[in-house]
Order: sequence, then C-alpha cells, then structure tokens
Amino acid sequence: MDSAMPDASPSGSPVAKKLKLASAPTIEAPAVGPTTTTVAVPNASSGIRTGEKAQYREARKGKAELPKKKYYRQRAHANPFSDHNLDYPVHPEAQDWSVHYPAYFPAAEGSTQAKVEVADIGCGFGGLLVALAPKLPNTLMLGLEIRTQVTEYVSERISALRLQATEQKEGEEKMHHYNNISVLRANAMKFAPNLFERGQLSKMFLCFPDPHFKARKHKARIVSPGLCAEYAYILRPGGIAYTITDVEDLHNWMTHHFSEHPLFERLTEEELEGDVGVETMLDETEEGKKVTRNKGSKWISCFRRKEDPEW
Amino acid sequence: MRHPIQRLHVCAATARVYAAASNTLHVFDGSTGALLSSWSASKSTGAAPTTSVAADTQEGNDAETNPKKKRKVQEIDAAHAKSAVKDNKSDKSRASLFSGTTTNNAVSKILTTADGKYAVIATSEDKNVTVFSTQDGKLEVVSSRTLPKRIVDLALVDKDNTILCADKFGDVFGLPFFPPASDSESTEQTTGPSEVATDNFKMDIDDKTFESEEQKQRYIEKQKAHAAREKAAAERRKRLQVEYNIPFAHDFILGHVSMLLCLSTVTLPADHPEAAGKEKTWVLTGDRDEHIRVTRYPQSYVIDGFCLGHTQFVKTMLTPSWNLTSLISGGGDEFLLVWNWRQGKVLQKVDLVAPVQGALGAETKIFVPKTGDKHEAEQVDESVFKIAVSGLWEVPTVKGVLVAVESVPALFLFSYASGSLEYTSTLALTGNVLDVAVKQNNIFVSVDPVDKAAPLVEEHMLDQAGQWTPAEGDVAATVSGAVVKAVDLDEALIAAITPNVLYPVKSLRKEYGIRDREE
Repeated sequence: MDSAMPDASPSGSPVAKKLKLASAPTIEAPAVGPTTTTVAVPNASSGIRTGEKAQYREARKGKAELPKKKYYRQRAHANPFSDHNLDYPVHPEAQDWSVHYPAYFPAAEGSTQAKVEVADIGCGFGGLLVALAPKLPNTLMLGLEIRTQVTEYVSERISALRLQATEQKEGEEKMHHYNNISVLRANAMKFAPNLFERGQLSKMFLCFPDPHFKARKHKARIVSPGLCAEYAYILRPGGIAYTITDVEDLHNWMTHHFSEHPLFERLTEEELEGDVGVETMLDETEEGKKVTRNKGSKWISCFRRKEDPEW
Repeated sequence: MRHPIQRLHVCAATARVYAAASNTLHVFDGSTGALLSSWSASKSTGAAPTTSVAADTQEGNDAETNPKKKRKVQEIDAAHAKSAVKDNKSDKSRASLFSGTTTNNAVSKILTTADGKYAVIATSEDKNVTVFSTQDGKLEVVSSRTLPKRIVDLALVDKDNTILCADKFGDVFGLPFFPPASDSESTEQTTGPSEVATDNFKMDIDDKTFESEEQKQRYIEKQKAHAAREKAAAERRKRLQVEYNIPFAHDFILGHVSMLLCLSTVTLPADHPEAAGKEKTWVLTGDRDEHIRVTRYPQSYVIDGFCLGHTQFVKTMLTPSWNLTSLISGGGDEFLLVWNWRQGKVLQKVDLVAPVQGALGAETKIFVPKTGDKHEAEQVDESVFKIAVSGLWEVPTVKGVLVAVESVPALFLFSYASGSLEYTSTLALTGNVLDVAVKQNNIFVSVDPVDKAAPLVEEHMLDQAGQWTPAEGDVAATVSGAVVKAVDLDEALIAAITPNVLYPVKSLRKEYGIRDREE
C-alpha cells in the first residue's frame, strides 16, 4: 500500500495534476467503431495497452534476473471494501503453504511444522521482506498485497532471488536462500483471520499505508478500533505491531488507536534500540527509501501485544 | 394493494404478536388476535434524515453539512438524488422521492425486552432505532435515535440495558436502552464543530492585476473560501477520534471491514462448565465475507475466535437455548453449519438441497457448486435456484430448529434433540416464507401468498413428533385482516420495494463477473 497522496501544499497539488495531464499522451481511439473489439493503441511512452508489460512479464518468468518494477506498476489505491476477485482460504488450515515455502513444507520428520510468523501487510514491492529474509533466516514471512501486478512483481522477485541463490558458483560470497519469504494477494483488512490463526504472528508490519485523509474515509485506513482487535487476534502476546509512515497525521492516528486499544502498549525508544524490524523498516522499504531520497520525515511507532485480560 | 408482513415477532413475556408491514408496526393480542395498537414510521425517506441534518445545518458551516446531506440522499437512490435535492420542498419532488425509495422505510427488525414492557425496532430508510413502551399493548415512543448507517440487526445485552446495533458498514455500537439526559447537551457539542477562522486570513494580492474591482473582490472571496475549506479539512484530518456522526451516547463495540449481516449474543450462566464460575457474554457477528466472529462482551476488544467454514455470506445464526455452546448458521451456502463456537470448530454440515428440492418439486434445478471456483455460481443459468437461508428459529418445546429459505413456499423443521441436527419435516405454505415467530408450539409464519386473497399470516401447531397441524382459532386471520386493512399501497410501489423488503437475501451473493475497478 503505497502512499501516493500528495503531501505537498494544497495549492501545489492542482498544478501538479494539470502538468501531469498536459504531459500525458492523449489516448484517442482512432476510428474505433462501436462494433470493433478492444484495439491495442500503440503508445510506447505509457506502456498501457501495448501489451508490452504483459509480454515482458510473460517472458521473464522463471529467470534468475530480477524483474523490473516499471512493468508491474499499478495505481496506488485499491478499495478495501470492494469484493475484488480474491482467492483466499476458507480458514487457515485450508491454505496450502507448501506452494509458498517448499523448503519448509512438509516439516522434516520429528520436527514441528514451521508457520508464518511475520506478516507485512501491504508489502508493496517487497523491499522489507527481501531485506528481512537474511536477518531472520529461518522465520517464515509473508507479504500481503492487494494489487495483482505488484503481487506478481514480488513473487517474481522472490523466485528470481531463490534461483540466484541456487545457481551460485563456488567461491562467491554465500547468498541467502530466500526460501523463508513469500507473497500473497489478499485484502488483509477483510481476510487476515482466513490466513492466520489466533496468536500465530510474532511480528506484523504496517509500512507506509495509504493515509485516506478524508475523515469520512476513516474506515478505509489500515488502523481503526475494529481492526486493532483483529490485529490483536492474529498477534501472539508479546508480538509486535510495527507502523511507519511519512504522514504525520496518519502517524498520530495510528499511534492513538493502537495506544487506546487495551491489548496493545507502545514500545519505548529504549525498548526498540537495535530492533531488527525497526531498522529494516526505516531503510529498506521502497517507500522508506523514497522518503529518504526526498528528505522527508518518517514516523515510527511500535506496539506490544499484551496478554488477554482476566474475565 | 396489500403489502405482505415482512417482520413478525412474538413477545415471550406477554405473548403479544408484533407484525410489521412496510413502515407500519402493529401489536396484537396473542390469544384473541385483537389489534391493540399501531404505529407508522415516517414514510418519506427525505423527511426524517433531513430534520436531523437541518439541526446540524444551523450550527455547522455549509461546507461541513452539504456533503453529509448529499451522501444520505445518494444512499437512498442515486438516480433520484439530484431531483430530490433540487426541489426538496415541492410536492412534485416528494412524489419522485417517494417512488425512488427502495424500501419505503420498512421495519427491518423487531425485538422485545425480556419483561415484555418495551419493544425496539429498526427502520431501514431513516436508519432509526426506536424504543417503545408497550404498556397494555399501547405503543408509545420512548426514544428514537438515528444512526449514520443502515441497521442490519439488533440485539439486547446487559440484561436489556444496552441495545447492540449492527450496521451495514460493519460496525456494532452499543446504545444505552434509555438515552441518558446528557444526550441533548452532547448533541450541541458534536454538531457545532470547527469555527473556521477566516479573519486571520492574509493574502498577497498586490502582485496580481485585476481588470476590475469586482473581479478582485470575487478573487478574494474565492481564495478566502478556499483557505477556509483547506483549513477545515486539515482540522478534520488531524482529528484522532473516529467520527461516526452519532450525536448521542454510544459505545463502539466492534468493527468488521465487511458488510455485517447478522448479530446475536450468547450469555453462559455462571454454572455453565465453559463459563468458569462467572456469567459471561459473547457477541457473535456474521458478515458478507463468510466470517462469523466471536467477541467478548463487554471486553469487546478481545476477539475470542472465528467460525470459518462458509463459502458464501452468513445471513443468520442461532444458538439453541438448550445447547448454548453450539451455533447453527446459514446464508448463501446450500448447507447449514453447526458449530462449537467456543472452539470455532464445525460439528456438522447439514444439507439443505434435499429438503428444498422436496418443497420446490423435482423439476427445479438447485445450484450445488462442484468446484471451488467463485465464478461458478454466475455461470449457471438464471433458472437454476440458488439457496439463500433467510432465517433460523428455535422451538424449545420440541428441541427443534425452523429453517426458512428465501423464495421457497415452505418451512423446514430440523430436530436438534440428540446432539446432531436432523431433518424432520416440511411445512408447506401458501406462499414464500417471509418471517416466522414462535409462541410455544404455535408457529406463526408470514407469507407472500400466491393467491392474492389468501391470508398474510398462517398459524400452525407443532407436536412433539414434529408433525404439523393447522392451529385452531383465528388469530392469524384477524392479524392478517387488520394488516390488510391498515396498509394499502400502490401496486407499482410494492413491486419496486419487493426485492429489498421481502427478498433482500439473494442479492447478497457476490458478483465476481464484474471486473475489479482497480484492474
């Protein structure tokens, strides 16, 4: 979930829009009668409808070279309320994880089955996952992303990395195997309980989520009183919810709602000292890098899942 | 033309029968069928919401209230919204607004308190929760509260001191049964927001050239308005509290991102083995995305579990009073699921195809998904019948469960005496079943009769063996007669509201054929 909301001054945004419109190549439908089916309009600069993207994506499947992001771009916003056309398991036990983590499924005899323990909700182009993979080398991590093409990119990226690791020649510096990360197209706001059992996760990341500025749209935000209860459900006691954003208002919002929730307590800076999650989130997410490039500020808050209260 | 009774309810304490046809609620004596009292919700959909909005308008600024108003009308009917907004006052627009209503402000839920002294109803179009006192069967409005979103279900908790309202947006709110005195004050506080300070507005207009003074003024005005809007927007953005736009005392209980469809509560008494020596309450919520969520109450920030197993929307749930840890649920699937809701485990999958086939006749094709493909339901022919369970009711005297399937002229009885749910018998009806109310062994069923002269309510007796006999006495006939007499609507209007008021369940099925907007 990239934040593509213009953070610039309000007067700046209409101008930007206008410029964008002016520079965008006008897509006219030349003599496309109502009877003709969709005609691919050749348009090299936009890449839309030329089939170029699709061709690229098809051609590079199974290759060890890393995919190029520009062929997988998709508009930043997806409506979390719409039905989409999602595939999701009826319940967590129905999910076939062996497709995602063939190296860990099924478990070796005598050992317990490893389960996904870390979730990156709205993983975008997967920077956090790829960076975390060698740092938590035997923890299964899953990225959830609602946009199909972006999910495809992450999936291709991971398979390319896995392939690179196996094709390594002797003498080269040993590369991480990347067998412990994967990605799934999902609407985490609706279907997280379909994927994770109660208390399955030890870490959960919400990195640079869509701010949904309008007050009316509060329900579309990734953090809300109702969703906090759901995050508490999938996190185990002691597990940590990480949030990072470049939008101060959203930071205040997320911090407020997690802090208000009786099952979460905010971690202090001392407690987060040297935390692998925080470090990676700050510097390795795609958005995080972009914000650094633009010299923007980043706000972080992390919360520990408390034990269920007595009742 | 007569309007069928879309909601039927029997008050356990007083045995009175509540029947709602369109926007009118009637109360009848349960033994004689005598009409005790009637009440009608405001019919014109525009009227009720605008009164509450109008109050806001005076205090709030225009920028704040206009979108609100627009939104409300849009929800009613996008096609008619424009005409309704344009000439709100003329009679002509009333008519157009009227024909644009999708439900005619139908009563969508009736509840009565355990002591029988109060009744609570929800109305669909004005989104009101109305509490009545029912002294001697006379309906007196105690309070009426307007929620921002359409109410899908109601339940009572805290020994009837709290009304739980589940709305279409996925949230559940708890309202005190009697609005506290502070409510009237808080209304003023919440509706008088953000005084937009435009006085400290400064603008550099020296470096701009204007053709006329008039143009300059216009420009300044425009910039001022713009700045004010931006400021208000920035203020709103900074607000940390969720704005539910509920101007009266309420508690947020829980929220789904999916559309909620049903709500129920279970209270385990202190001596129940699962309760560990203390009386405990849970809220169960079913949504359109196949979830059943189990939440503690009042510790509603703790989700105790989910019951996941449906492959279609969950429309209705029932916890049999003789087996409180089990739950029966139904909706868009061609089966019911019996759960141990404490563990989130399916105990039994109960087929509905055979009984429904029996009721509809062998020539009707019933849709049974063969693959896990979600598109499958759309690929089949329109004539193929898709089962949508619309209601579940318990008959404690025979440990039976009644199952209604939308658009089926029958009621199915299942026995739940031996630990598993077994099909027992089918009660054939004169029309599609709309709602059911249980009074001991007397079962009242409201129907949408094929024969336009047939009564709107049927009363049947159920014996211990699960056999049905027509009830003696003429309660059903008098109830039906009184409703027919009281509610007389235009034929076209009834045709327009029928899908939403009488047959709202089947449209809950997801349409995957429509391509995602984002792609």
